Amino acid sequence: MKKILLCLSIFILLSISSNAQIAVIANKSVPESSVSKSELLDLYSGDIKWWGNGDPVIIFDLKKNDDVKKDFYSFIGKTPSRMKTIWMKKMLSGEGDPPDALETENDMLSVVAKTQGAIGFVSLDIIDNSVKTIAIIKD
Amino acid sequence: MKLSNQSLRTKQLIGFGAILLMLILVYLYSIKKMSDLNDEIIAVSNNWLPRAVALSELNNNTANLRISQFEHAYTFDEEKMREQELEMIELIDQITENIDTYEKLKEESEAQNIYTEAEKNLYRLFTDNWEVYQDLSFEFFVLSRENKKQEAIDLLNNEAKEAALIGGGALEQLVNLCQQESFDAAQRAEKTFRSAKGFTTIIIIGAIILSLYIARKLVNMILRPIKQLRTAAGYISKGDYDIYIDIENNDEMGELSESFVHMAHSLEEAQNKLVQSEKMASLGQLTAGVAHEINNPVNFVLSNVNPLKRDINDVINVQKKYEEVIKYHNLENQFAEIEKFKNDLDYEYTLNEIDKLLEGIEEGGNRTAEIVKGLRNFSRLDESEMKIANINECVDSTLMMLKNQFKNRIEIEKDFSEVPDIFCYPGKLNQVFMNLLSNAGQAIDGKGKIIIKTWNNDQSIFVSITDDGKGMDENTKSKIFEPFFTTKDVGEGTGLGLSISYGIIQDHNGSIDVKSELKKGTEFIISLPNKQ
Repeated sequence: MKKILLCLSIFILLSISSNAQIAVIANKSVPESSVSKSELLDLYSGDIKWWGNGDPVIIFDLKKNDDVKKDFYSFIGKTPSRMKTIWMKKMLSGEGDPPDALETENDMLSVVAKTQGAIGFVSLDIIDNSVKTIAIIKD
Repeated sequence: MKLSNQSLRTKQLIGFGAILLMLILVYLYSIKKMSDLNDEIIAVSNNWLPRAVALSELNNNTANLRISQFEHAYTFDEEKMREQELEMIELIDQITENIDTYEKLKEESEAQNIYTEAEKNLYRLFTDNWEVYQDLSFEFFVLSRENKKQEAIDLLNNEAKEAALIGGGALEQLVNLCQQESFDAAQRAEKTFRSAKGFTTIIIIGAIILSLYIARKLVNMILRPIKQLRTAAGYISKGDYDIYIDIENNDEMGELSESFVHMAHSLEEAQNKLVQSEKMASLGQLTAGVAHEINNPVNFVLSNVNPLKRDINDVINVQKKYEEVIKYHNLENQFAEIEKFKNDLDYEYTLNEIDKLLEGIEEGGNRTAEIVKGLRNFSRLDESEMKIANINECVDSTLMMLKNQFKNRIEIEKDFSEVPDIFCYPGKLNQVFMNLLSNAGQAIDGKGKIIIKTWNNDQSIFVSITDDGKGMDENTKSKIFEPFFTTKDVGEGTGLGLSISYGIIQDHNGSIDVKSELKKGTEFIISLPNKQ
């Protein structure tokens, strides 16, 4: 009985996490407390290169094409594939390299926490005090 | 609800309604088919073909990007590399545009439910590989920038090659699929067009045949009776009224034919009546003249007979006086010669014969006077004023006069209805009834029965007198109203009774008809109009 309950709670947790809200996180050195949708697109497209305090913007991406990644890019109006095309253009025109793609959301959390001027995205339910949340994406 | 019983109007409406219905059907069907056709054409021109174009351009551009990457890898000149990078940016822009175009069309066809699962899977295969290829391109550019040319070329030739081949293959298949689909749609359109063409052609031919048939039928329905009427009219103009028209349909033409036949019969009847009354009128004039001419000499004869009798009597008396004187004076010897002369002459017989001759002259004169009177009656020379009278009473008064004559021999059966009073010449009508009833009585040998009926409708009063006597043959019946026609022995009838009756009834604007069968009896029917 206990096992069944456990399975059930895990299932519920999973199902919640799959529909989870996404948090846009930044390194604590970032002075901005919130960013808009269009600012997010400009940040990820490489059109905004510096934060308010002059630190360079360092964006991070996830490697796997999972829901968190898809939902994040669709929130800013692009597909992951289209983002790559944008990055490829920037790269060819010498405006900057594509972001590092990290394996997991936990990696994202820890990398953002220790990289100055970093910005990334993870599920809302895994964030902690090591980073600051500058936007929450709801379904 | 037989069609032949409907009016021409209904027949026309049904016929043309059927044609109209067929044409509307054709119209609706072709509209439907045309819209199907239109959908197919729109699908081909607005969707599949542009999709195929976008896909094949996408395929070209991705292939060109790869070629440019190779060129980039083999180039060491910085400036040239810069140029190639600009070219690649252009290619990437084009690829983005191609993908945008395709995805927009894809959404449209998804909305129309014509986007197939196969296409969806192939496109996903392409996007997945394109993403992989982009990731590899990042690595390639980094290697290329760091002048690790060989490693860059290896990357292109190995991992990137696989993604490019799969993605390109997917695109080629997609192009084929779209072409196939547009081809299928075109074929469907052609099929639709053919079937619609066939169907509408059949229905239109059907409608034409039907309209020809209906037109022919309608023309026949009108033309046939008209031809018959024309033929019949030809017969009538030649005086043959006994026409026959085959009435097929109970429509307006049928009614026309019926009225035409009816008209022909009425015409015949009217003509017969006209001939009869003309005959009667001229006979009337003739007899009026004759009666007038005979009346005077007959008057001479009749008015002279009595004085002549008296005169002859006087002469005889004178002669008797002579005889008495001779006898008284005994002068017989002197007058023996006269006596002898008397014996020679058979004087006694002469005296007797004078009486008989005078009687004969008187009777002949009286009979002639009677005939003249009859002729005058027939020619209607003596008209008095009209009076209001009841026909039943007229008949009754006539019967009173005949009562004695019929006595026990003839039974009278009266079947009178309450008929209204009319304006008439009662005395003359009495004469008619008298004539008909006495004729009836004479037609019966021994015992028999006379039935008298009266009735009326809105226009006329009718009197029928039926006997069960010897009846008449057709020949007799056709002549009974002619003056001087009689079946009685010479001297017994003048032959004027019925012709006088005929004239009287004519004077009343009425009619007299006769039905008779030999050995069964005769019926006279008089009709008199209610209003004179």
